[in-house]
Amino acid sequence: MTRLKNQKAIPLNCMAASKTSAQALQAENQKLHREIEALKQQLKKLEHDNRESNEGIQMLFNDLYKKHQKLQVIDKLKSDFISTVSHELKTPLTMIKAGISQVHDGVLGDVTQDQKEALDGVLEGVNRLTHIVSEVLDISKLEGGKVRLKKQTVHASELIEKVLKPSALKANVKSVRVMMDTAVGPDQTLVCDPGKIIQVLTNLVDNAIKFTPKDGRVTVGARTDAKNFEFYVQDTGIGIDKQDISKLFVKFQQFERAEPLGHQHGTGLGLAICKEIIELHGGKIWAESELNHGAAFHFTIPQ
Amino acid sequence: MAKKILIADDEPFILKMVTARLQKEGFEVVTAQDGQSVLDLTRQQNPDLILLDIMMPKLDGYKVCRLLKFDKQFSHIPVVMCTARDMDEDSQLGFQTGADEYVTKPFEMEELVKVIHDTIEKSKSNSA
Repeated sequence: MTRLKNQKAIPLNCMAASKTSAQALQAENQKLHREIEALKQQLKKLEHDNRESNEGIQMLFNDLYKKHQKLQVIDKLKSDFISTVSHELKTPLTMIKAGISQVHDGVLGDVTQDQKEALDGVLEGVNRLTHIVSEVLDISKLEGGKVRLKKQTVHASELIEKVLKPSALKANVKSVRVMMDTAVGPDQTLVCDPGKIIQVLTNLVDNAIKFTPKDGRVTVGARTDAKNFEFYVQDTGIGIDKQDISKLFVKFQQFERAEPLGHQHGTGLGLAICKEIIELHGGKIWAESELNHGAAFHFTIPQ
Repeated sequence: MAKKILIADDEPFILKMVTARLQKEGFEVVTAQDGQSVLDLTRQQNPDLILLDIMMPKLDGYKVCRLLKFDKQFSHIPVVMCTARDMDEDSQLGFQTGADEYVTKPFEMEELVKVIHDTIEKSKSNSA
């Protein structure tokens, strides 16, 4: 019985069900409409926000562009300033040097030994001043990205000889032996800006001589592997304290205990200039040392 | 016969000192203090070498050098640029305008004399 009753009930239930499902659909439809409306509103808001943020970005961009232009003007001013100062400092230096060497060399008449010695002192002072001016200008040019390398293929042994010749005089005065590592072959070549690498090596060798006592030794060498060409300058001098090694290549850093007696203080720019030059070549420069056990400076140039 | 050098520098004292040194070396010397005079004196005196400062009134050294090197009558005369400007681009510009050598101030007198001798030698062997 129940079965039959149930069977009859089906169409009724069906109608009721379709009625409710129509209502439900409508409700669903309305709900979807509301959601669509809400989404439309959201879209509108997003579009608005987007426009606003675009405007914001545009404003930020304009602002940055203006600042960029301003910086370019300032950078140009800085370059012009360096160039002008260079000229302004070097012209009077040239006048002093030209005048004194004329008197010193006897071009303008005879000079006594005493006068010559006095002029030697003046000339040394002018040379030192010239060196300081060049170092200050060098570091500004390097840091300002004003230096372009003139790369060519050169023989390592020739580079080292060019450095050792003028350094030998300074070394002789101190009875320090300066030499090239015999392992440097005559056919070892590398690609670099030779003038700049000579500048770096000269600086390292001069430093080595300065910090190496009488009867010591300074060795300049080179080696090469698949990727890099490496130079090194090794001395038997007083060495460097471990804690000072990291500060060596920072400009204006000088270590009071390290300056030997009778030596003038430099600008503290020499090694900072070396670092800039080597990094411009894409290489690395570092020092290895222990107090009282000499020092070795190495640098690489990628090939 | 003594070689004739035309020296151009706007600083009279430098002119005087370099002149004294070069005369002592046996050169004949003519001097100029601005770019226009360099051109005039080159025409009148036909020097064997020009020592040219860059920063000069009227015409700067680059312009003078370019004008001389463009003129067939004077392009054979070697030019040594001599200046306190030493930015890397400067020396490149110097060579682009046709300068034969480039010496930066402050120079050693001996070095300057050597460069002058060498440059005259080189230009002689080039034209020979």
